[in-house]
Amino acid sequence: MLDLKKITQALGDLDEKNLLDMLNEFIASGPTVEEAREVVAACQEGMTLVGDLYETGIYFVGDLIFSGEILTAALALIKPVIGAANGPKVGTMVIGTVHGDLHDMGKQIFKNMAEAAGFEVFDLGIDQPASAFIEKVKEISPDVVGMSGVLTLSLDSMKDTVAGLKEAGLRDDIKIIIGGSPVTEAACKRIGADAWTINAAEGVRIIQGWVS
Amino acid sequence: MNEKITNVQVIEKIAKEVLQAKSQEEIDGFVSLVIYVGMFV
Amino acid sequence: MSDQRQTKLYKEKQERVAKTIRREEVDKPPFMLSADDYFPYYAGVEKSTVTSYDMAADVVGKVSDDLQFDTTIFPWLPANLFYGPKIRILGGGTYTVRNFEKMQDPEKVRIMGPEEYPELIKNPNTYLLETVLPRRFEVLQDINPEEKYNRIVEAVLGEGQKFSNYMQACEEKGCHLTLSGLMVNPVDFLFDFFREFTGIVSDIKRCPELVRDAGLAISEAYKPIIRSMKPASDKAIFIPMHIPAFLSPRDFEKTYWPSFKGFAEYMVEQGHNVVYYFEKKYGHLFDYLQELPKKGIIGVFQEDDMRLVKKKLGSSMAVAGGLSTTLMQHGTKEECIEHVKGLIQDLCPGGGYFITPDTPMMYPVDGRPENLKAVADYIRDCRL
Repeated sequence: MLDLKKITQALGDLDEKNLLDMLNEFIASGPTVEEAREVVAACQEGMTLVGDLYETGIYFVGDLIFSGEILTAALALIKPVIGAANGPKVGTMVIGTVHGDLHDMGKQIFKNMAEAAGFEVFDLGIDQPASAFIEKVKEISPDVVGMSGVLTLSLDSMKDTVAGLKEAGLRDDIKIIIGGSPVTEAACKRIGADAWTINAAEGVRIIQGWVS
Repeated sequence: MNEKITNVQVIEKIAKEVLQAKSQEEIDGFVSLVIYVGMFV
Repeated sequence: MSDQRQTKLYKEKQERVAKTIRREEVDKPPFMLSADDYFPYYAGVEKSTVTSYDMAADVVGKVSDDLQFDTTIFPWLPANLFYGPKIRILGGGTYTVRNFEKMQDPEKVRIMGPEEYPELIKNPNTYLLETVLPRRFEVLQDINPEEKYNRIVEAVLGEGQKFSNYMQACEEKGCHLTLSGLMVNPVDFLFDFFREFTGIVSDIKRCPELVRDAGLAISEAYKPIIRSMKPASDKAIFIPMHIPAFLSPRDFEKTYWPSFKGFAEYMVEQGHNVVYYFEKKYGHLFDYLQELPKKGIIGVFQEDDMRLVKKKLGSSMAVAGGLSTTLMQHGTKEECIEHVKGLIQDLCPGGGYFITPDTPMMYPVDGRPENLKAVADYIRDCRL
């Protein structure tokens, strides 16, 4: 019987080998969709552990990025079990790295975790102008829009995007979250977003709060 | 020409012909320069 | 125009820089600028109108003349002149130049897999030139050998000479440049040019000994370059630091530190100074930085508290930083001058400190020109 706490701890410890060994054994045992979903939830708990260790200064950005890699590998193993039975969608989100910025690793981690939490995520990609966000929001009316950026210039692009969404009359029907290393409380206010984070696990908690 | 010339050989040739490099040390130095400085792009 | 390098003023700047590197007290606060695309902005010149290194040197000379800083780490590197031609001639690169700005594309970086470390370690130069780099550069692929020869000559020697001439032109116009060369530490070379962020971090976790050994192998390959360079007391090899800010001390010690330390010791042994740009926070690695060679090192710090930096590292290296670009953008002239007074008061005594912006000045938001001018004038007129 798979010990879910051990899964959580292995991910929290960044013990890739141990985690994947346990998951491979689990898959080989022919689990149910429900059991697989519990494992996904346990992985998410692990990511929360990672986020906490990062916030307390024990883990560094490199550890955070590696946790994203382990999570991707873990979800790749589990997803075939869950398969077409995707389960209840808790919400939809459009994400993208803003114009002028080509970085996407933070966005990838956030996307993985949001999908694991039941969000349907539409990833626009990198270097996306305001118009790309506006078009997608018009098309699918998501619950959340997430903007990512690592360069200080990205803050201006985020501001432009929010302004564009407002002008298009779309702002009031969505919640906006921004993420990336230059993002701060002051920047969030200036940009006009609803929330900000530099920690993917915290970001998922925030957006879960919005759709519950 | 049947013999294929390697990238290292092309660069060593440049070191000898353009820079007049005589010693293996100078030639190796240029090969390193090409990789770690010249192709720093 | 006459060669400004022969003037008393320029020679005093050289002396001030050399003494500060040696951590000797000097006559006035040493001002070391760190700026790139800010140069044309300050000069009131539109980047897109600068189409030659001659024009770029004029811009640099004008700014230097106005601000009278003692040295700038590197000159303005116009993307269309510095990166553009090389990318074209070599037929590839990790950078793209768009709107006269350069950006490194992470997709273009990752051309090597972790399974290739053993081959790289055996013989880095051959493995890179014959197997890895041809994936990036058309010039290294199966093209006509004569064309290959000519293009490599043009890209490396031709463009290299143009850049050397440009640096000399800047100095002839009175702008002292700190850098004698530009390199990155061996493990950063893997990060910047072959593995990208997720790649190198995963390698550090999954195969740390291979990363360490690849760094050591590249460090050996670097040495002939260092031996071919002439040292100067007022110059330093410029090494931006990239990945360590994101690593835990444990991961840093296992994988990055061995080649970082070894290479630092080698450069200093060969008579060179080294200026490390510690991008982002390095407080978690101060214990290691204290073990670098005790002479010939300048550490430029971005996000660490300079007073703490001087306290912890001031007896190991000359330190630089502290000039707030946020204040220069949002504050008044008076506030900026008060700020600089504080830096001078707290950090100049005992020597070994350069006033340097807390981030390389790249964009207009990095400081209002009138504030930078006020700061520069204050420093110029200040005596210690």
